[in-house]
This record gives sequence, C-alpha cells and structure tokens, in this order.
Amino acid sequence: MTPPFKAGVATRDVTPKQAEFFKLLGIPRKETTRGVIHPLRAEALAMTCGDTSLWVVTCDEPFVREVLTNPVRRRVAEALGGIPVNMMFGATHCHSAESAIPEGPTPEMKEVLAAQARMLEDALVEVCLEAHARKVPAETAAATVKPLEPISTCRRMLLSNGTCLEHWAGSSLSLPGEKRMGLEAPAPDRIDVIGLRAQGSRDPFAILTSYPSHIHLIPLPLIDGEVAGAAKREIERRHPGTTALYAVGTAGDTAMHPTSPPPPSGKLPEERAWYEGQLRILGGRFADAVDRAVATFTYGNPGWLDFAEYQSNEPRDVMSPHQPKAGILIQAATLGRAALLNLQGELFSQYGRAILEDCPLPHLVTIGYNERGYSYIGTDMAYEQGSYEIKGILPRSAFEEQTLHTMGVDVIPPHRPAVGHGIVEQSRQLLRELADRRG
Amino acid sequence: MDPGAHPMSPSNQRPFPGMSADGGPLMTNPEAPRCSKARAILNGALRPADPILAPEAARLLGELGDAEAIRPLLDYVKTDGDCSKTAGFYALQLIGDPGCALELAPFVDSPGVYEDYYWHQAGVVRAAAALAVHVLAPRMETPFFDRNLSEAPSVTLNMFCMLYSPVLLGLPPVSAVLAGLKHRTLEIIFSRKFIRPAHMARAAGALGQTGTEAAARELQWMLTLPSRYVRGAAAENLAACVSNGEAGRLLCDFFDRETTDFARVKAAGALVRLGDSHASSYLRGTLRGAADPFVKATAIDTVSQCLGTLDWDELRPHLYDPSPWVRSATLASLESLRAIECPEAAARLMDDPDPHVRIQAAKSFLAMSRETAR
Repeated sequence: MTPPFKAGVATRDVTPKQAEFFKLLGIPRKETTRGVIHPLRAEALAMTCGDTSLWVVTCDEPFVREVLTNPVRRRVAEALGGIPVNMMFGATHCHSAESAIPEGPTPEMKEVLAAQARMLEDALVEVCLEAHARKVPAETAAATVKPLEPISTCRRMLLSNGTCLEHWAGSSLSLPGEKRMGLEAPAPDRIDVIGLRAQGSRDPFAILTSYPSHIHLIPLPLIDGEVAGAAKREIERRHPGTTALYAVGTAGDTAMHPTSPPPPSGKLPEERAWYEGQLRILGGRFADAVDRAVATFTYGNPGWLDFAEYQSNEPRDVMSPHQPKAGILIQAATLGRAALLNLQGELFSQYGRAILEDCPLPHLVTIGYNERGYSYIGTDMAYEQGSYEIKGILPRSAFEEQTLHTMGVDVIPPHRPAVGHGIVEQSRQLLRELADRRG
Repeated sequence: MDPGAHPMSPSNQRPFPGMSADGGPLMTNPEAPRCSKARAILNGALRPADPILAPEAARLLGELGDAEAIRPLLDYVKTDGDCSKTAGFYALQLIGDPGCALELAPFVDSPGVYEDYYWHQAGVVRAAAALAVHVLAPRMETPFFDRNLSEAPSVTLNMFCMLYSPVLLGLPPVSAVLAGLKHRTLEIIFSRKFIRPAHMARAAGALGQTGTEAAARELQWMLTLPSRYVRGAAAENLAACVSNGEAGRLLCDFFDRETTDFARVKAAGALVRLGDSHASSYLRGTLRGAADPFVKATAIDTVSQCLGTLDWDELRPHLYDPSPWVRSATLASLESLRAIECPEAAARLMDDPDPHVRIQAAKSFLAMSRETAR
C-alpha cells in the first residue's frame, strides 16, 4: 500500500528592521543601506511520507550558516517532541540582503545585528513549525524546462591566450589585441520545478524551482530579494494561492543576463529604475518557463520520500579555511520521480552538469548555498585560467593579502578543485543509494 | 587641347581611385563586390547584441587599419555594448586617423559606462579614451594623464597599465605622457601585484618587450607557476630577454618537463624561431593530431607566426575543421601564406555558419585583397 503523503508550506518576512545598519554583500558597497525595495522572505516546505519527514527551507539571504541552522533544527525538534528533523537549507545568495557588518561596529550596531540574527532564527523556527502544522494530504508533480529567453549566462570570458577575464553585466574591460574566444561555459539551460497540490485540488499550493545562476544585478544600497524575489512574486501572481520557493543550483560561474547594461550615470534613481526594469523582465522570463513546466504537470502521490546525507570533517584548510567549521555536507532526498540535492559552496556549473549526467531520476532540484560553508569551487582548468572567482594562482603572503585588500579585492581563499570532484562523487553516490533503496 | 590645360604626363595619367582613365566608373575590379560583402559582414557585426562578436569585429577592423571602418567604429563606441568603448577606441587608435581624436575626447570625461568601483572599469575606459586621443593627436592637452601621473599611483591607473601593458610598452616614448605611462607600466609588470592568470600572461608579453635580464628572471619564475597559460606566455616571451643559446637551453628544459600541450606549443614556437628543427616537427605533429580544438587553434596560430615554410596543403584541411576556433585560426594564418588559393578560401568562409568565422574570413579576405592590389 502506498504510504500517505502530506505537505504544507509557510512564509515569513525576514527584512531587517533597521536597514541603515547594514552594508550589503558581494562587490563591496561604499555605503550602508538606505531602505528596502521589496521585503525579504523565508519559506519552508514541510513534507511527510510514511516515517520520513523533510523540510526544505529557502530564504532571501546571502548565506545560511550553521550558527543559525543548528538552533533552528534543535528548536523545531524540541517543539515537535523530539522527532527526527531532516532539513535542507538553501539561501538564494541574495547580495541585497543583510550580511556584512560595517567596519568597527559600535555597541548599538552590535545590538541591532544581534537582534537581526535572533529575528532570523525565530522566523525560521516559526516558518518550519507553521509549514508542519499546515500539512495536508498532497500530491506532487515535477518537470524540467528550458528557458526560451536568456535569463543568465556564464560570466567568464575565455581569451585566446587561454586565460579568463570577468564578463559580468555591462562589462567594459577588454585586453587590446587579445582575441575573445567565447564564454567559458554554456549558459544555464534548465529549470527544475516541483509542484505540490492538496489532494482534490486543481492548482498547486507550492512551487519549488531550482536554477543555477547568481541572482544579483548591481550593488544598490537598497535591500531586495533580487531576481529570485522577482521570480517568486511573478510566479505567485500568475498562480494565486501558490507559495514559490526559489533554490539556486551550482552557480559559481554564472550570473544574471540583463537585457541592457546598467546606466552610466551613477545616480541612484536611474540605477534603481534600470534595476527594477530588469527584475520585471528576468522575473517574467523565469515565470514564463515555470508556467510551461506547470502546464505539463501530472500530479500523483509520490509514494516515496527518502533522505540521506554525507558529512565529512576535513581539515580546515582543505575545505574552507575562513570558516570556523569546514567539513562537507551533502543532503539528498527522493520525492517520487524527482531528486533533491542540497549542496554547499559555489560550485561551477560544470560540476552540476556532471551530477546531472549520472542522476538516476529524471528531475533534480539542486538547493545550493547550504549551511556548511561557502566560497567558489572552480574546476581544475579554471584554477589555471583564473577570473574573479578563482582570484590569483599564487600562495599569498600577508603583504599580498594586504595589497589585494587595498585594491578592493576580497581575499576569500579558493577551494581546491579536488573538493569539487569529491562533492560530485559523493552526490552521485547518495543519489544512487537513494534510488537503489527505492528499488 | 585647351592651351591652358595642364599637360598630361605618364605620371599623372593614373585613374582617380574608383574611376577609370577616361573618367568613367571603374568596372574592372572583380573583387569589388566581395570586398563590399566583407565590409558589410564586419560592420554589421559591430551591432552590440553579441558580447563577443562586436568587440571581435572591432579588433579585426583595427588590425585591418582600414579607413573605411572609421565611421562604423565611431558609431560603435557610442553604443552600450560589452566592451564597445575599449575595443572601439583601440581599433581607432590602430587605424590612426587624427580626425577621430575630437570625437573620442568627450569619453575621457564621460566614459558612458556603468561605474563599478570594484572593477575600476569607468576609470579604465577613461584612460583608454585618453590614450587613443593622445596617440591620434599628440598636441592635444592631456589633463587626465597629467593629473593621474602626477599623483600617487592609483588603482585605476595601475589596472589600466596592466591591461594595456604590451600596447603601452610598444609605443615610442615621444611625449611626457607616454614616457610616464611606460614608466608606470614597467613598475606594474615587475611588481607581482596582479596575480590573476590573465594579468600575468599579459605581463609576460610586456616583459618580453623589455628584453632585460630582470624580465628574463621574472619570466623564468613564471615558467614554474601552476597555470599552463602563464607558463606558455612566459615561454613565448623568454627568448627576447636572453641570448639565443641561453634561451634554447632554458626552453628545451622547459619543453621536456612541461606536461601540457598548450604550454609546449608555445615553447615549441619560441624554439622554432631559434632554429630548432625538433620543435618544428612537434608543432606540425600537433597541428595534425591535436584533439583539443583550443590547442589546435593555438598550434595553427603559433605555426603561422614562426614557420615560413607552412604551405597551403598543410593548412587547407583545417578550414573544414568542426571547431570554429580552428577555422578562424586557419583563416588568420592564410594572411601570411600568400598562396594563390587563399583569398578564394577566405571568400568561401564568409558564408560559414558561424558568425565568428565569418568576420575572420571577411577580415582575412580584405587583408589579402589589399595585399594583392599592392
């Protein structure tokens, strides 16, 4: 007999209450935040089939760290009477959400930041418990679609001397006389979509998507969910009653592909107008693709929800020297004909394609930026070609670190490529084990 | 004859360009339609939709040095396509028409690109415009460089000097600005401040231009770095900085211990220029047998630069290679081959399915047609 499948979804606003205390992420911003364009959000999808429960938790944050997720797991488990809690966390790697603490925080700033951290933890606990409480008998469907119009692209330009240069939106720098061979990797060309609806209902109450691309455009001093937020809003507008969850796959070398370069003025109103226009276009293109996926959905009881994870506690310098705890964490689940894979770091897209090649199920929703570390994980060749993600090729002295910092270059140490191969191998193995267990 | 008319001598009986001797339109140039087609392909590719095609078309037009490209390029730098400013400025700088300076000068103050201080791109675009203006019209004032060169080294100017290092070192130091830029560039390429492979490979080319012992030491250090592309660039440029005998010894050692085809091809090219026949055989073998299209394209490029004896029959099969990189590299190499079949082959590939091959075919066809006309 097929075990009953239940699912529920919930959301929470996680927008910082005092935006002016935050300096946003990524390409470092000169100024602290002036306000909010669209609120930030966290979502939780709770699912149970037989004895197995799984939460998928996504949020408009640059990262989720274990310092946040461990208490969330513990508190949710306690609230539910100590049941096993399988949780996959995935940030959208939103660069316009709070992250960096301004240099030399004052006691007041520290208090604000601590309050924000508490708010985020409370919100994630609440959203998980609410999703759990809202579980109803449900059905799932899955589809994989190709965007018909460009949404994102590889952001590394291969030159004829074999090296790579950054090629982001509105890129203006070229090496005179050097031939441009092309973008180093193909553009992301698949969106994996899972839909969930209540038994007897026609429309989905939750749509979970996965797309392998960075979601940011330009660094405005304004809080926003960026393209992921725009995509979620547009999906929910087109499918009333649905909650959209947005996961980012293996996106280390990919970035959004605006339809026009950002304005040259340097004036915030014009930059904001361009930004919001691009959100509408790219969010719309994403929602168009999701619509096509939803149109093909064939719902049914998945009949199977299984979960497995791989953890390692490698020496710190192998995985992520800048993180207090640095082992590898990979989680995988199977839900009907779809697999879910929870990965850490910013793997280059080639790794995602390698996992897909060997995936035993037709649909794979990759949920990147999990709680165990971040930073780019390039391919072997990328370390020789270079680019923003890879930084330099030399072991850096303190002097060089300082020089880079003075130049405005952040100094996240690159991962060794062996880590990428290890993650691919362990992911494949987990997915095979889950498929074998299903039989 | 009108008594006041200027006498006709054999030297002034040449037809005016585009006109026949009797004053009528010149109808005897059979290549005129295909030249027009080639120009249309290159100028059409300057439309900014494609982030690779348009800057590549600008690069090829600049290399061609064709005055007919000036207006399309001036229009191109006003677009907001990827790299349209830097690619267009440099192409116009190469063509060398002083009349362009006035049209480029406004970009020095208003580069027209998004200012992202992380990449310093607006600053680099301003510097690129200022350089083009100065090269084209040396007597125009240069407040941008006067200010930047008199101040403490800025990150923006350092970045510009790194990206443009081979260009800057290749310019004669005929003005205080160029002398200052060359001085700054020399400081940068020896500083090891820019440690990304793209920057280091660039520095290797510039170091080779200096031809000094200090550069040789730096290039030998680069031969040990964990990027085949930096090692390859270092090998390619080392011979310019040491005696032939020393270069031969160093490059042979490097060639023997190097494990990647890319860097070995670069080292072999340098060895062939020193007269090494074994390296010549290696390059020809790579040309025939390389499976990786990037390596094959690099081998074709290297061979065409250093083997005067390359013939049409060796190159011809690569015009039909499945990789557009290989077809493009082969087309570029036809320009130095001077075989009678080459212009026709380039003309055929102006209809190649790949637009990147088409623009290279158009450029090569125009270059060879001009050579034939001479």
